[in-house]
Amino acid sequence: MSLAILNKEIRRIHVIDDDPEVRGAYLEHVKDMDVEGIDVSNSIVNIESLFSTIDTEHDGIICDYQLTGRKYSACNGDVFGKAAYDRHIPFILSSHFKPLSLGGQRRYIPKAVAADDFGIDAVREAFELCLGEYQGSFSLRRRPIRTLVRIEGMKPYGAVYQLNVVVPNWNPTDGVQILIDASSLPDLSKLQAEIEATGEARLTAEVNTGATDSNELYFSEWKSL
Amino acid sequence: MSARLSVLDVGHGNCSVFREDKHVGIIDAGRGPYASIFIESSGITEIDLIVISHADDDHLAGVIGLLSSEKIKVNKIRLNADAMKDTKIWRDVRELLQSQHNQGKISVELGIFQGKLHWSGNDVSLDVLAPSIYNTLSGVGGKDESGKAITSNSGSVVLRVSHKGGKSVLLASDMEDQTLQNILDSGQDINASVLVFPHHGGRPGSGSVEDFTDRLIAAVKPSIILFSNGREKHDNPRPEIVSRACAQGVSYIACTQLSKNCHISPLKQQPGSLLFSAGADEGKSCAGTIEVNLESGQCHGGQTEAHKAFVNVLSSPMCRSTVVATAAANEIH
Amino acid sequence: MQSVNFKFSPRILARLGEELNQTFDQSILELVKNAYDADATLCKVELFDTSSAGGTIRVSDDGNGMDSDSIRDAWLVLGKSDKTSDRPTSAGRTPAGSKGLGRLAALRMGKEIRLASVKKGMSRRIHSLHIDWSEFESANAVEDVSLSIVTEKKTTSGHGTVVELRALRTAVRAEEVRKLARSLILLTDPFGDKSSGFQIELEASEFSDIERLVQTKYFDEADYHLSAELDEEGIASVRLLDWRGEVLASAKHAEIRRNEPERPYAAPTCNFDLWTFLLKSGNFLQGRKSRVSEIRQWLGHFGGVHIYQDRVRVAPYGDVGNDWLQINLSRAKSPEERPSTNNSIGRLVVNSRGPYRLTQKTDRSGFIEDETFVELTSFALDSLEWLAKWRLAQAEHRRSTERQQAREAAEAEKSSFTQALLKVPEEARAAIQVAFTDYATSRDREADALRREIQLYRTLSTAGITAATFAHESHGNPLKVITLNLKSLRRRIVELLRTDEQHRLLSLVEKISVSAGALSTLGSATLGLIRSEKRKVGKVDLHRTITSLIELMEPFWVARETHVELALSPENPYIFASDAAFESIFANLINNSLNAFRQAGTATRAIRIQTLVTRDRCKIVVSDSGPGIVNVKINEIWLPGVTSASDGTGLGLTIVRDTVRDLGGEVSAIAHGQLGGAEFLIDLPILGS
Repeated sequence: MSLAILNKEIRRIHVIDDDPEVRGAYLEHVKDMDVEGIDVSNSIVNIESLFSTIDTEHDGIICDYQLTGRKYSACNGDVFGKAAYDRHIPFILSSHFKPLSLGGQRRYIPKAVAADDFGIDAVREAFELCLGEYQGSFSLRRRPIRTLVRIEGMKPYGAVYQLNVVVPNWNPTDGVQILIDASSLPDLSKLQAEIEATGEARLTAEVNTGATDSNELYFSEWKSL
Repeated sequence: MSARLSVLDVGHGNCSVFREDKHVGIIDAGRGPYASIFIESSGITEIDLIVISHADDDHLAGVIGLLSSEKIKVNKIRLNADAMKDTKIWRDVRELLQSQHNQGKISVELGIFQGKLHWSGNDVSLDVLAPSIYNTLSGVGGKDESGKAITSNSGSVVLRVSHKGGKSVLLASDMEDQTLQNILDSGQDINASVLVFPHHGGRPGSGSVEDFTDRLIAAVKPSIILFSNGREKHDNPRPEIVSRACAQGVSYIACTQLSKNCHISPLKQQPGSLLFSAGADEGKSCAGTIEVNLESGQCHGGQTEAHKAFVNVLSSPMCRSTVVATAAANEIH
Repeated sequence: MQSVNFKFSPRILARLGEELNQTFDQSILELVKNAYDADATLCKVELFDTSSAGGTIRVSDDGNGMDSDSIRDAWLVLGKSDKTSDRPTSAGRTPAGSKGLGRLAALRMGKEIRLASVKKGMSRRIHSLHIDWSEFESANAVEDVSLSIVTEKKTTSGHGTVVELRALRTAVRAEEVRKLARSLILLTDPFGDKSSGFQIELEASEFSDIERLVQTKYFDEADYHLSAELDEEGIASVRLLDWRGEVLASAKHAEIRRNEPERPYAAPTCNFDLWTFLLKSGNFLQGRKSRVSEIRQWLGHFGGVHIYQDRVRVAPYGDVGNDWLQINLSRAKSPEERPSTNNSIGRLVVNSRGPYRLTQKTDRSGFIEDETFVELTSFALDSLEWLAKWRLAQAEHRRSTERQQAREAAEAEKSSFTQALLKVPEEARAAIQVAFTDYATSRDREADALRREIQLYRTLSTAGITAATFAHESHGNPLKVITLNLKSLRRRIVELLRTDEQHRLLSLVEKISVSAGALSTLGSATLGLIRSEKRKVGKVDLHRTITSLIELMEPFWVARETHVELALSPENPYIFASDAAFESIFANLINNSLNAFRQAGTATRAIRIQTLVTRDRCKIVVSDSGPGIVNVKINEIWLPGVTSASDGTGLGLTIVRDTVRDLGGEVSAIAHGQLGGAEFLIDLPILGS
C-alpha cells in the first residue's frame, strides 16, 4: 500500500493542521490514496521534534499554512515546507486563502493549493514536483532564473518588508506584492534611500519566470545589480 | 556544424537565434525564461549581437532576461531610438547595461536602418530591410515619406539572414503593409527561402489580411512559412493567412505553438520529440522550436517528420494541405 | 643560506590608500582625529587654492607633538595603531584615531607632504619631514626610498604638529567642504554645556556660515525637549520638558518598555535628548527670537538623531538623509504628533565602558548591528513612542476641549445675538428673529444629521471590524472541513455506488457545496474589501474592477436566485482612485437591489450593469427588476437613515453619492428604469480608455 512517485514509494503521509477536524478531512483523502495517514495531533514544539518522526525515504507531508490560530505550532506551514525541502521530503501546502503569496519561502514550496483545489491529483503533482526538484530537475514553471526585479515601493513590518515589485521579464505591466525578510535584501539602507528619492530601485533575484500565475512566483538569492 | 537559425517557441512573442560556428546572434527574446534556458542548454556562453526589433515592453522584457543572466555574456545590442522614451522598463535596461559594462564589455548602438549589419561570421550576412534611414530619423510617431504616421509596429526592424550559398530567412517582426511598401519602394531584395510571418500570424495593421498576405508572399517568394505564435494569445495564426499561404503554393508551413483552431485541447507530444519549447510541458506546442539550416534553406528533416506526424493526429490542422507535400523536401542536417 | 625580507612595491601605497575608499572629508577627519588623540585644544584646517588641482591643505594642532623617534616609529609605520580604544590619552580622552591606513589615504591626497612637529616638553627642537610621492613611483620597492627627518633648533615655545598636503591631485569641490565642515563641527559635542576642550577651526569661506549656525543655540527655541536616560542597570526613565525647562510629564521604565516592562535594556549607559520644533507659524511662543526659516535651515543641516560615543560623533547616524531610527517612516504611518528628521534634532550619548559596548565597523560606516545596538535602538524608539502617545493624548484632550468650547461658544454667540437684536428697531426685529431661528434650526438639523451619520459609521466600522476578525476564524476551519470532506464524499460515492444510485447522493452534496461557497464568499469578500492595497490610490481599470467584484459575490446572488448581467462597452476605461472606493459604489448598489427584492418578494430578480464610454467620461447604469423607488422622494434617497427597513443601515446610498462625488462624478436615480425597478446612473470623468 504505497504511492509511487518517480523513483520513490511513499508509504505514509503526515497531516499537519491546527484543527483536528481539518486533519481528519485530509486524512480521509489520504485513506483514498491507499497510504497510511499519520495524524500529527500533538503540538509541534520545534522543527526537529516534528521531523524526527518523519522518514525521509518513505514519508510525505500535507501541511496547512495557517497553524498559529491555536497553541499547536509557533510557526506557519511555510517554515515546515522549507524544512521538508531541506530534508528532501515531498510536501504539499494547503490554505483556505487565495492567493497564496508566500514570497519569502515560496522557493521551497513547489506546490501550494487552496482548499478548493486540494485533492489526490494535487498531492501527487506536488510530490512529483518536490522529488524532481530535490534531484535538481525543475519544471519550467518552477525553474529559478536570475533576472532583474524592479522595486516600486517598500513598507517595513518588523523584520519583514512588503515590497511592490515588477519582474519585467515575467510581466512588464503587472506588479506583485511580496513579503521578504529584511535579512535577504542586500544594501537595505541604500535601497530605501533610492526608493525615497526616485520611487524605484533595482536588484536581481532568482525568480521562476516560467510561472503562469503570480501566486507561484518566488524570489530568492537577492543581489545588487 | 553549419550555420543555422532557430525560431524559438517562446509562446506569444518572437525569438530567433542564429549561429555560425562560435558566433551567435539573437533577434528579440520573447518574454519569460525561455530564451535564456535555450541559450544555456545549447551550451552558448557568449552572444555576439542582440537586435531588438522594436521597443515594445514585451520585446524588451526578454532581453532584460538575457542581460540578467550571470552565465551569458552579451557583446553588443542594437536597437532603434524610440526606445529612448523614459519609461520604467527602459530604465531597467539602462541599469542592467550599466552594471554589465562594469563587469565586462558591452556596446550599445542606437539606430538600425536599411543596409548591412556587421556580423563576425564569414558565411552568413545580415541585411536590414526596414526601417529606412528616413523613417528611423523620423522615429515612431513621426511620418514616413508618403506622409503616413509611423507606429511602433510599422517601424519595426525587418531583418534578412542570408547564407553565401544563396538561401536566406526573412524575419518580418511586426511589419505592416506600409513597411512592405517602403521596402519595395526602396528596391531592396526581399526574396527569402524562409519567411517568419509578421505579427505572429495575427492582424497586420488595419488593411485587408488576405491582400497583405498575398503581396508579402508574392514579394518574398518563400518556400517555407513559419509562425512564432502563442496558443493562449489571440487567434494566431489567422486562418485566412494560412489558407492564402497554402493557395500560393508554399510547400511547408509550421507554427511554434498549437493554435486552438487546429485542436481544441492541448496535446502533449512524446518527450524528446521537440527541441526546447515553452509550450512542450503543457501540450501547447506544435512544431515547437524550429531549426532552419541556413545553408540548405530547409528545416531539419527529423523535425519536419515529427511535425507532420503530429499534425496528422490533430482534429482540424490548418496547414494539412502543405504538410503532405513536404515529403520530398527533407535534407539531412 | 640567504637572508631575505619581504619588500613592497610602491603600488601598494596607492592600493592601500584607494581601497579604503575614503571620501575627502573622511580623510581630513583622520588628520583631525590624530590631533584630538594628541590632546590638542585647537586644531586648524586651512585650504589654499583648492578650487583647482594643485592646492594645499594644512592641518595644524597644539597637541603633544612628536620627536624624531616617534615620527620614525609611529607616524611612519603604516597599518599599526599604537592607540587602542581602551587606553585613554594623558588628558583623559578616549582615542578616536584611525588604525593607520586612514592616515595613509589622507596623505596620498597630495603629491607632496610636509610634516613638522614639536614635542611637548622639548619645545626647543622642531622635527620636519618631506615626502615626495613621485619618488616612490619611480622606485622598485617602498623600502628603497629613504626619507630623512631634519631636526632644527627653534627659539619660540609651544608644541604641536603641522601636516601639509601639497600639490593636491584633484580639486576640492564646494559640497565636499560643506560636508567636511559639518563633520568637523559635529566631531565634538555641540550639544552639551561643557566644551570637550577640543576646538576646530576651518578656514574656507563656507565654514563661518555653518559654524555660526551651530554655535547659535536654537535648543531653547524647541517646543518639546525629551530627555531620556538609561542607567547602569539598563533601567530607563524619561522626562518631557518645555522650552523653559519645566517638566511637562515624566515616566519610568515600565511605561516606556511597554512590551516587556520587567526587562532592562541590554545597552550601554546613555542619555537620549530630542528637541522637537513645531514650526507652524501660528504656534510660536511668545518671545521667540528666531524665524522659522532659520531653524528649518539649521535642522536641514543637523536634524535627525546623532550618536556620540565617548564624546565623539559616530557617522552616519544623523547625517543628512540618514534616518536610522526611521522616525520619518513612523511619521508617515501616523503623522499626528510625531517627530521627523525635518523638525527634530537629537543626541544619544553613549559610553564605551561597562558590560555593554557598541562596536564600530572597521570601515567606520557605523556600529555593528548586534544585540546591544538593537537594544539601544529599542530604548530610543520606546522613548519616542512614549512621547508620541503623550502628545496624542494631549491632542485628543484638546479636541474634546474644542468641542466643548465650540458648544459653549455657540451658546455665548446666541446670547450676544439676542442682545444685539434689542438694538434693532422694533419693526425689523420680528423678521430678523424669524430668519435667525430658521437658520439656527437648519444648522441644528444638519449637525444632528452629521452626528447620526458619525454614529452610524462608527457602528458599521465596529461591525466590519468584528466581521473581519472572525472571517479568519469562521472562514478557516469549518469551511475547510466542509470543502475537503465534500470532495472525499463525492469521490467515494462515484467509486462505491452504481451510477443510478449516485445521483440521489450527489445532488445533496452539490447543494451543500453551493451553500459552502456562499459562506466562503462572506469571509473572502469581507477580507478582500479591506485589503490595504485596495485603499491605495492608483490606476483603477473600471471594467476589471466591476467584473472581479461580480465574480467575488456570485455565490450570493445565485443563492438568492438573482441573475446579474454585465453589458460593458468594448473600451477599457480607467481612473486614478482606489479600488476600494470604486468597489464600494457597486457593492452598495447591489446590496440595495438584493434587499429590495427581499422586502418586496420580487418574482423575477435581475440586475443589469451597463457602461458607455466616451472620450473622457464613463456612464454606468445599474438597474434592477425590483419594486423601484416608491414612498420616498427621489432626492431624499441619498440622505442617511432615510430609506430601507429597520434592520438596514440606510447608509448605502449616502456612501454611493459621497464616493461618486469624491471621484469627480455625479449620480442620479430614476424610480423605474429599464428593468422596472430602481435605476442609478453614474457619470464619471475618466483618464483614458
